[in-house]
Amino acid sequence: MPLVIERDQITKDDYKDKINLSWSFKTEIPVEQPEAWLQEKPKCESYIAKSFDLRRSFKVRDLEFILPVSLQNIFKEIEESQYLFDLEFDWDDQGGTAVNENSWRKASELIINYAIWLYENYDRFVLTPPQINSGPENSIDLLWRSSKFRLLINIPNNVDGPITYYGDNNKGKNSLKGILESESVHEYFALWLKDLSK
Amino acid sequence: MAKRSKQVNHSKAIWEIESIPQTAVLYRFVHQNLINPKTGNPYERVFENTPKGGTDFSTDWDKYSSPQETRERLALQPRIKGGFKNPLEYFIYQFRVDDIRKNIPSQSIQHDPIQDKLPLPDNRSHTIVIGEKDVEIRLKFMDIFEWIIPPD
Repeated sequence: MPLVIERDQITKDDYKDKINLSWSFKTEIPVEQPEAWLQEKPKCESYIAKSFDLRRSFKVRDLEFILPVSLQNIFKEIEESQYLFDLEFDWDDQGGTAVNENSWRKASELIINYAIWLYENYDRFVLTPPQINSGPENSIDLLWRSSKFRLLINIPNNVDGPITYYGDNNKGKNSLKGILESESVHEYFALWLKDLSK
Repeated sequence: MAKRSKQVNHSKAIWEIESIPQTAVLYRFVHQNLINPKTGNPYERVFENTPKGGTDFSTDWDKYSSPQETRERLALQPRIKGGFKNPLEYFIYQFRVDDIRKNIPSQSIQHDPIQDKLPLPDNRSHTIVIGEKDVEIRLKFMDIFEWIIPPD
């Protein structure tokens, strides 16, 4: 599909390692077919973001990440998880409260660290974002599910408590279970996450 | 406030603890706020032991309770903030005992009738599922739950 970038004389080097650039482009789809353009636009954006490794700053609360634009869905999921701070006392009819902000930060950094590591080490691989849900005892559950695998990670309310995880092939086989010492990246675990996104 | 708890009746027969057969079905309730709007299923956290830090979670055995009775009995349970639970805020799902014993063998199932234990309402069907509910176990309970009175 022909792709024409609207700005003149833009080259790959102009975008390399630059942050927070805004850009626009157009395709050769005729104006009379706006629906076709709307369908093609996400593909074009994805093509450009991946080809030129565009990065931008994402901010949520007091966390700031410089992320490849291709990973913006990861950030979007983190941003939407802020509802966990607005949970009122006894929201679950069991005395539940809002999550601990430090636990949420730990969960967010874990997701971002793995997403960036996979992107930078596996040909700009784009990790599927997890569901970020309330867990037992005001903890946070991160859940990945695909047709082939699933993984549940729990970040406890006590920020010093262990991060526990379990994953398998949806049938209880080829399983992985254990404790992560921190939100830093462990390669074996990153490769498991990569498989979840296939 | 009207009394909702039963008076103690010393002439009433004591309910025996029975063994739970393989064909039994166990009912559980879940609050509407603990249902994932994206999937229509309970969040995985629902399959935790209660109260917090406890060794088991509660169910009702289908020999002595119907799903509707499990739901209606909630109206006799006090709320933390005062008053009593609203059954209409809850939905009912079930586990088959056979599924638990085959797929989650770390859990044991024990009949535990509640009788004359105020403020809890009497409940002959009360049955507990004992065992740690870590991330693995919670995922596996998600595999075997079935809606009986599902969300609208």
